[in-house]
Amino acid sequence: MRTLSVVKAVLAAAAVAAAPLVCHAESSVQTGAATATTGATAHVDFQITIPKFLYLRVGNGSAYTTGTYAANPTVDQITWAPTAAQVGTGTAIAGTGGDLTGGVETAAIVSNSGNVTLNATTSGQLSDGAGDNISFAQITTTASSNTTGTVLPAPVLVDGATSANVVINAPATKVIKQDAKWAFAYANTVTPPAGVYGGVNTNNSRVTYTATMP
Amino acid sequence: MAPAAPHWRRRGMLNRAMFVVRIWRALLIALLTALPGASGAFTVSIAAGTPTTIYLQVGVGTFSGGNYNAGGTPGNNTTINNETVAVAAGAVGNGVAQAMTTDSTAANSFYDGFLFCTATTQLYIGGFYRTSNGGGNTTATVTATVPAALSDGAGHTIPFSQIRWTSSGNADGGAEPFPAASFSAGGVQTVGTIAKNNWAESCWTFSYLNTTLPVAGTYTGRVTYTLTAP
Repeated sequence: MRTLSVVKAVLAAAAVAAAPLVCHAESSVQTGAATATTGATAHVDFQITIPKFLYLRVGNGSAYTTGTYAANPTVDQITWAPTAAQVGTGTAIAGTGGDLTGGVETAAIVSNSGNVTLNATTSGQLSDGAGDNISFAQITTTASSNTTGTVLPAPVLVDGATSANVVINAPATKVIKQDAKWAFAYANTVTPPAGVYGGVNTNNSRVTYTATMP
Repeated sequence: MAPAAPHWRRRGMLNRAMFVVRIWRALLIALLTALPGASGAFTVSIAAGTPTTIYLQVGVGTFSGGNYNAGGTPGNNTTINNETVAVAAGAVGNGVAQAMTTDSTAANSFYDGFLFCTATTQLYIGGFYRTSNGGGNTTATVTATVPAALSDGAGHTIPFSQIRWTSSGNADGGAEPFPAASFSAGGVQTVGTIAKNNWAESCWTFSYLNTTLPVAGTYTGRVTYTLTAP
């Protein structure tokens, strides 16, 4: 019995001494000199999945500058009411309204998967509901600097169609963060019949901006 | 491998032993945290012995023949656990830290079988450093070798410094042996220590800081933890 115990102890010691010097595992045990040289190692694999996302803001919207990319259903209205003396003079008139007031809207695109295409769609010329129209060519959009170094260009509005695409080229990082102040003005180069043209989502008043990304 | 029972533990019948140990562990934590300057985190003295032996477990591990305090033997386990997060589209880069989860099922300590960590949300880290009584007080160190960044394999990266962790453990209190921190990208950092003839353990909860706007993709990277005796 005593002899058997001694043999067992010797075998156990031998097994420990024969343990591998190099061990890569998620639990590992080392003995002897290897405790100071190789050490016992374990690994953890980390994985972060980032989805594609595309954020477009025209007018009121979330605080994208601080990383808030939330939907906002508010649709802003830009209006003009030239005086009788101003009608058709060819002197452009700044709008009223917009989240930045004075007919100016915040415009921003934030995305993380390459180039973005931006355009604007109207359903027809602005109408007074009585057969008279004002072309969207009379509505100009001028983009100027907001918070980003690159100014986000504005599509040129067309009547009853989708505008030409504005392509925002992504840098090598594939991440786009561009904004601008879009100032809407009435060109005032025509003399339309008196009336109210457009409105709140009526008489072809609504312009829909669309950003797409592959 | 036969550990000595710590001075504050008592052996009982087999079926009562685990219950008694859990009670003692909770009472000890309560007592230590009530004492000024005391640490309630789980570290426990083990019997000295030779040859010098170290055991490190991060995530799942292996013990055979029972837990350490019942004479069990530590082993190697080749399973590499994962810490993952999938950020929602509306949250990318918004600065709100995103909790990571793990596929590690290690919840019970191999020291005494105590339910120490919460599987899927906490990653177990623990081990022991056993050596002779001579040579003064020495400490084994656990380091993390951290790549500079996680990569999507297409040239885009997220710095490892975007990952941090908190540290705790069931019934723990006070300073953890493997405390909270964040990764230092592209370097080797100390993440904890184990004093001579001690068992020490913590539970880590990882999160992704989410303060950058990365390209869409899946980013991966591996950290190597190493326990080294002096």
